[in-house]
Amino acid sequence: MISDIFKLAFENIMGRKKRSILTILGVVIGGAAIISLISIGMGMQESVKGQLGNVGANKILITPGGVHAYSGGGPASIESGSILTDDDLEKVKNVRGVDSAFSILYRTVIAKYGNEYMYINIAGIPTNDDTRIVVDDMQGYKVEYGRRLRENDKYKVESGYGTAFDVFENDVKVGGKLEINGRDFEVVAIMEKAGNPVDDNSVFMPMESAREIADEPERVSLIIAKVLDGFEPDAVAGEIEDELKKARGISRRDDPDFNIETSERVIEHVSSVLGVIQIVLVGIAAISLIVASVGIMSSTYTSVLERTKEIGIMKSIGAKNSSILTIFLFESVIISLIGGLFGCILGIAAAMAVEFYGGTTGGSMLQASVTTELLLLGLLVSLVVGIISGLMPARAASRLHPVDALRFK
Amino acid sequence: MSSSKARQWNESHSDAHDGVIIELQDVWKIYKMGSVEVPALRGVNLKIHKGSFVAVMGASGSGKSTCMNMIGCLDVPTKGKVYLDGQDVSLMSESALAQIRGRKIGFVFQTFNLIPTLTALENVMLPMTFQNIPKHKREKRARELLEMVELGDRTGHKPGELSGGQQQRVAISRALSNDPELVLADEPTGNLDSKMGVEVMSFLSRLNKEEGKTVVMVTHDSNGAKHAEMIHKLMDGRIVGSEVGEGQQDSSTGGKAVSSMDYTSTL
Repeated sequence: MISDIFKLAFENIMGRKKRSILTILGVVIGGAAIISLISIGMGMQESVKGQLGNVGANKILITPGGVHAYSGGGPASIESGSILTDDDLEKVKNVRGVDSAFSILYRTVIAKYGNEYMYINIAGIPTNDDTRIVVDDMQGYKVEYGRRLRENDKYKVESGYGTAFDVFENDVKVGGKLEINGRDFEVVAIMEKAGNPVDDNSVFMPMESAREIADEPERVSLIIAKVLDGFEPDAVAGEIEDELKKARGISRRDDPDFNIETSERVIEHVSSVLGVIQIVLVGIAAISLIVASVGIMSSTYTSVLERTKEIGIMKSIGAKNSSILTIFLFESVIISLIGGLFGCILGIAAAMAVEFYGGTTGGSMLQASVTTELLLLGLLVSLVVGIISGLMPARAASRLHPVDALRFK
Repeated sequence: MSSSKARQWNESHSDAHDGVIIELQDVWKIYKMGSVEVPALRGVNLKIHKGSFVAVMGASGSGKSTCMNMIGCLDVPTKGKVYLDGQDVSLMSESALAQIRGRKIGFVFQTFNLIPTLTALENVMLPMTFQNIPKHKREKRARELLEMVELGDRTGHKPGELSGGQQQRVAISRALSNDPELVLADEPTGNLDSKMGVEVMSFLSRLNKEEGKTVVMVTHDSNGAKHAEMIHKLMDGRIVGSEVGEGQQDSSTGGKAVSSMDYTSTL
């Protein structure tokens, strides 16, 4: 019975090929838009999580009030009344559950390389061996060319990958000279690409040199603490918060004048922002699917109108209302499923094309994520679209009166 | 079946004379055209016995089509009762009625009314599909029926590839597919030339005489109607007269009217 009804519906579709193909095309476009955008959106989240994830989940970031972690310092941290200092760093180190901690001082400066002046970021980092291992481990810093800074390398820098190759007309080379605030710095290393713009576009120098250039004897832009294994990062962050509040004379109940976040939280925030972006994109794509659904509806209505007499015939020879309903519902579902299938294929192809193109132009964030779930979702959505857009015309068809339908010319 | 329904069924069944396949009791059908009420049938009483060959004759506008819709249970009366095999059709749901129609009534239409996207075989199978008959049985029966109307070699053809006479024979096969008690033919020869018309008429005659089917033919053509045993004349929505047709003489006296043998020879 079902297979016969399927055949009837299929014959109906084949009987008006051109119109069916156009209707299917609408679904293909809508489906492809949704699938490709979800695929890219999911890929982007995976890529971001991967980049943040390789710095470890057991990290706590403390920044001065009003300045978000990773925003790099600069004028904002001076204007925001609160400051972080190395005293704070010492207090963080003493909190139970903290394995180790270090601070970074960021500053935007004008640097000269060859004859060119450009804005760059400097980052003062600890250079004593023990701490440096932690820094590299937590921040994912790796030397690509040259060697690491040593403890007594006062006027030497490691150049981030971006600063070395993208900022100046001439690529920065190991052994080259960068002039910052009238002082020459020797480039001892070019770092590997870290994947985040702040680190890639910085030059790293010993903390004391950065303090001298920035004229900041005490402040730091960022404190990073590593949580001991077996401790809950959120709990340790809470203890650090309490400790720093106490030192600043802030009541436990009041908001602190600094920001404290675990890397997990940072990932959550970034993910939620990406999620919102994705919802907006998919929402826009959904509009095209709604248009496609209206197309199916209109095509099915036309089919019902064209077949009014056949509906009358079928009813007179014993077709129940439900049989007629099923025939036309099948018609719209077949159309939307075919469209959905090709839409999935086209959508994945489009996402992969974007990934390929993005990859060649350096947009490593653009990745396509293709999963079976996504394909099943695509087919499920097209099934639902088919049912929704076919239901009204199919009901109209099933409710036709046999006498009126037979009389229809 | 609920007890009240069962009682109703029994009552109506006992009311109906045994051997009556369809009965119209004071049937009125009134169409509303805006604010004007147009009566198409005005109190039609009609009993059709099993195994009879009946013609309902009338000019266009006489209520003939409406009458056919009542006999075929395609429509329900505004007033009055229609009993199909003793069952009051106005008490049945649309779907139940469709099921019963598919099982007990075979339709032959003036315009053949085959489904153009289906082959001859599939068209004949369709009424059985709606009765949920298994596929192999359906196909076997459909082939037999098409062979009976001498279209065994045309089973894969679509209606557009068949002549009018062939299409009407496919339609007759379709009408017979569920082995109905009643074959209802609406101007069956109206769209055929005279030779094909004779073929189709002879076939309906044979169905009545040899298979014992009840045949009801609705027509405006007195030549076609005369082959019936009984002719009911319809005018202005009323039956104005009934007369015995040549078919009756033929079966009772074996007289001079066109015999079924003659029809068969033309096939």
